[in-house]
Amino acid sequence: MTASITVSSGTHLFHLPLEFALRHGGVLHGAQLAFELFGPAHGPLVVVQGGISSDRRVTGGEAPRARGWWQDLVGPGRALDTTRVRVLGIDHLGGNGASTGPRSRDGIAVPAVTPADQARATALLLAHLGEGPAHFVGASYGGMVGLALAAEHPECLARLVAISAAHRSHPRATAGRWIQRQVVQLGIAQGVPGEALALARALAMTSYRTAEELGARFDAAPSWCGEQPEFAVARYLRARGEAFAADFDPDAFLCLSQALDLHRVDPRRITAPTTLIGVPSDPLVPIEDVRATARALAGPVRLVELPSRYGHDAFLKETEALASVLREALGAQEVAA
Amino acid sequence: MTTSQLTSPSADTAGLEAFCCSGNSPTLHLIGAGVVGSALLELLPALPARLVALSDSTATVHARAGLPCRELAAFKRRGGSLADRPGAEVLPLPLALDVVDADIVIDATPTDVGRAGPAVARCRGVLDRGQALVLAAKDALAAAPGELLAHRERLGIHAVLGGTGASLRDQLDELQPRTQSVAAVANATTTALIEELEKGSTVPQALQRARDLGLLEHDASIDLDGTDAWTKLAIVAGALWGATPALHHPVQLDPAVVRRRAEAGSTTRLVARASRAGAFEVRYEELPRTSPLAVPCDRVAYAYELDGGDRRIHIGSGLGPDGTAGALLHDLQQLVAAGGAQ
Repeated sequence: MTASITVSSGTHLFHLPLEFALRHGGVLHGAQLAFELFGPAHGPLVVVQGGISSDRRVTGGEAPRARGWWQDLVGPGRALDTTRVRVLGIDHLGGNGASTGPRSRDGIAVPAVTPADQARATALLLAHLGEGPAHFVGASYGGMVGLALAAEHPECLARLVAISAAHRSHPRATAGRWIQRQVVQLGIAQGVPGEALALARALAMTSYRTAEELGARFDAAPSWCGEQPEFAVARYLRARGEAFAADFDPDAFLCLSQALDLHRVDPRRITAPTTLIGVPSDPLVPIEDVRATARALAGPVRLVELPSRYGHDAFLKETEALASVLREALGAQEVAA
Repeated sequence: MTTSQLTSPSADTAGLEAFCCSGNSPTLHLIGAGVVGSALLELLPALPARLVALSDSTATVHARAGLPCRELAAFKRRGGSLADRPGAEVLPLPLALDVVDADIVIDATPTDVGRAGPAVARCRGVLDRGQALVLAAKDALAAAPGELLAHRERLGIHAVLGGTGASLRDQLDELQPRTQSVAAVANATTTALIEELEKGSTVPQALQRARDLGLLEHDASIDLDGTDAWTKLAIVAGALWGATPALHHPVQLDPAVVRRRAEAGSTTRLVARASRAGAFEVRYEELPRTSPLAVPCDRVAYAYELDGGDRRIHIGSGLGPDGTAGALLHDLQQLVAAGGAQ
């Protein structure tokens, strides 16, 4: 198998075993993980993984295009203080980055991957780096990866923080994602993959945010273009969808969307000290599921219920609240400013 | 962030008119029936194409209706010479190629960098006749990269560069103006040796492992002294910049240095480097274990440093006889799909 990837300087590669067997029977041949390290050469290691649209660039420079997806929480003087800790950001297998996925395989379909597969690849990477047990902070898809890592590779993990993730994907979330995938597949079949992906993303956005937030932002009469009404919320969704589709591979979206729905972990196998952060207003990960996960964990657990008008996107918006939880969860002296 | 890569090249339909000149599938002529050729013979039945000729160093067998691939593979694996086959013809290879006139010629002959002239002439003849050419041998491409790649819509080079040749060919229009330098870990044999030395093996033990993996060239010295890596670098530099490489100075692998670096947490690879400015070097380098070039012995890596600071990395696993045969098959599948069956 051939891979062709383009990376910026500072990107590292870890080459997985030549035949990397996946949870659901597929095999990745000659796969690699792309990752970046932020912070000092020595110091506690914190693995940080986000949602499917996130990547290895967790933090970066101050220029707009150089910013990482969690810049407000990771960096010098931030909650994860990169003057004290090393932060490891990894591109998702099957995703849009430089880890093996549709883009690196010249469009060749990637077999079904799961958060458990990402967790196993992460465990192999940590072993390759010669790292002892590391901290893991994951949100959304990243939270699922963290839970899988804790359940199946406990030797890799010191502490886990999982945000907006539970032991399973709720069927209602799966229902919405299935529709999104049908839209994208229809678009691919019809030769309009980008437009379809933008529409699917717009649909996804309605499942991330709360009615409260959308109501506060977009409660206005429509404008009119001739005889056609144009709704402010529709303009917003169109813009977000198009921005996403401009830089995201439709096949990578299909792969990771499905991966979310294939997530299933037995929380009774998790013994590492764990902090679960659930958002009661999160439409995708019901707080009842997070509570059930917390009850079933075998090790020390802290459940934080974080009120937020941002629903599933709280991990991207509630910087102050998350900062204090992270400092406490990982040990302030160790990781935080 | 990654950027999109170029799409596959479009077929030069005029050049592929020879396709499907008889019967209803493309015809193949395989020259070289050693370990790679024999491995390819095992894979050919899966291809919608017809092997009509096979040439080894003694003779050529051909049949317009098609040859029994697997039987011939078994025959060659037993050490047989085609001259002993009924109907075999002892012909100079250029004449055999002309007589058979297959749609696609696959060159799996051993690489002989010191005597590339006949290989170049042979490739030139194939391409001038309008045939497609798929290479595993490196000598012709190292000697005349620009000339051969001018026909790249009919040229397969995936196997030549360890399963990355198709990426170079397909992205050449982008890479030629943008690439400032290239670094390659292109010789898996030395990587296998280094990995074994890092584990504490002796040099003979390490060589045996490389042999067991099928990675040793016909002459192991051309792996160890950097000649094979230099040859591949010549191909890439020639393709990118039309560069004529500097003379190769053999390098030496020092097991003690390898082990010392491993104990310090780094690793060693035989790295071939060239630049647009004309630098050309092959040597055993110390690398961080997280370097994109620190590939394991089942892979090769070519890293193209682009203007703007990004790096395009091609990683291939077309190694050993089976991997090389798989890479040849990749090229054949692309050519067959581009030409189409009538």
